[in-house]
Amino acid sequence: MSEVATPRRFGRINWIGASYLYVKEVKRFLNVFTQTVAAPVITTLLFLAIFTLALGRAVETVNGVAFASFLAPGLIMMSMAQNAFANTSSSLVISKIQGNIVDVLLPPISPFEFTAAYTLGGVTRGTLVGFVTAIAMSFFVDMSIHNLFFVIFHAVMASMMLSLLGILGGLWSEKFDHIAAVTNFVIMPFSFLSGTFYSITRLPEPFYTLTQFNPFFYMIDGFRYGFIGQSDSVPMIGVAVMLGVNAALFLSAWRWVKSGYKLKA
Amino acid sequence: MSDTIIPVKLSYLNLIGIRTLVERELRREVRFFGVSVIGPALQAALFALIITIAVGENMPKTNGLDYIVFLSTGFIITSMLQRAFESTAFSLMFDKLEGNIEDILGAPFIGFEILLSYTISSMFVAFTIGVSVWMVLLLMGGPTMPIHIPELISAILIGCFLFSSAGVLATIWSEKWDKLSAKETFFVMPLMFLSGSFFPRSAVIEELQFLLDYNPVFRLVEAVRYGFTGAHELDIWAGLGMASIWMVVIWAITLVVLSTGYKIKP
Repeated sequence: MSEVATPRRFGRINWIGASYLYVKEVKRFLNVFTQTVAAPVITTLLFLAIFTLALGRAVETVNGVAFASFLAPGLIMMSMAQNAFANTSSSLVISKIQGNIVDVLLPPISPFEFTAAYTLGGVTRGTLVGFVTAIAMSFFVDMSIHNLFFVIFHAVMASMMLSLLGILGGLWSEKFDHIAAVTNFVIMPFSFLSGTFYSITRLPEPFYTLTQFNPFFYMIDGFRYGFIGQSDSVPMIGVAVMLGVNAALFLSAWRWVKSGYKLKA
Repeated sequence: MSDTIIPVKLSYLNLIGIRTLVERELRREVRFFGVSVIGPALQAALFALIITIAVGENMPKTNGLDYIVFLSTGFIITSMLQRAFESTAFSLMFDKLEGNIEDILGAPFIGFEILLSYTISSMFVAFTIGVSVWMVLLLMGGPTMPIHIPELISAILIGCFLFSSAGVLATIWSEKWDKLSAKETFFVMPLMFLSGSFFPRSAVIEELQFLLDYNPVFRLVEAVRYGFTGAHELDIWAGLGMASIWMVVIWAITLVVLSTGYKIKP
């Protein structure tokens, strides 16, 4: 019987560490699920109610689809995006302010594992919120699925994109005010003005052309294509854009965590 | 020179205490000024923009008003009410969790004075929010000068009384932040959104219109809309009366809860 504890051996990836960090991220939001899952569902349903009641008289169809059926996928996407962003950003900012970020920095978890675990936590919250919202909405709106691949692909890719943006925002922020500013001035306007509520063909130039460079537009448009089979852009371009943007964001977040800027003393 | 400290003589109301507490609340509010003032104004601007793009010139007149004017009047009052709720709730919740609520409970205050202080400070805050939202919406074609001042002022006063005391009540009942935000999501937000600030009463199916009539926010929105434009669907003073009943009931409950020290005093 040896008295000396030998260090645990693991291969290229510390699966135990990374999976525990992921489980911690999921438990963190499930612990307050009324705030993190139920609340966004209610808010999204309220949005559906006010927009169909307010605009239903003026806008009966968009691109030949009933207004509510056009609106529903956009709203689901909006709630997924906001919640994926909120999950990673709030987790990092709270840990940084309370100082318990050292519990994550100290264990043998590599920057890659760190980034992947936080991202997956955000993706889990985003897709869960989206799934529950979609179920709740299907009671009020006629929702059929045209192409399941696009629905799942964009749900995961959009949640991933916003989780990564949340990591970047969370790493940058030193106080709650900072992250609230990012949410108010970046995430909210982008998720509101990228075609959630209208077809972008209604936009005047130069905004129409500018929107073609906005990844938020592709995730909303592609996700909606999965439901109604109608889109303002070529669906496969959206797939390529989302893959490219996510790869770039993941590399940036990974490098940032590696550098330890605003993260390690 | 005497060394004994003479206690401050209080008249019926501890005016020094009220003034101090109001001042402390406002100072606290100013520290978070940027986010709390710009947030609602930005949100209002986004909504107005979305609706303008989504429907453009196709939007039919709503109660005889341009839709943007109709929407703006609703937005001004609902953002004020929401902020009145949040400003008292967040401040009190913070005190409760940090334990420095003792500073208020230990001071020579009766429940009435505490509640009055929170109400007064929330009125200042709500007024600032209301003006900032109005200014932003003015740029987007919102309503210009109000015409029926008494109705407008009454609606704002009743609304601030109602929602600031609701904020106190919700906080006393909530152990932690998530419980408080659940109350905001499940009670306050539906009252705000389903209030006739976005759509006229006539857009709701007839069987459900009575629900709007009992929603104090709808009656306050109507009064503010009347104050700005003169347009309304129901009788304004009856509506203000209805909202006052809500106000008196919620204020009285909060006062009793605060005076007995339920959940805040050991």
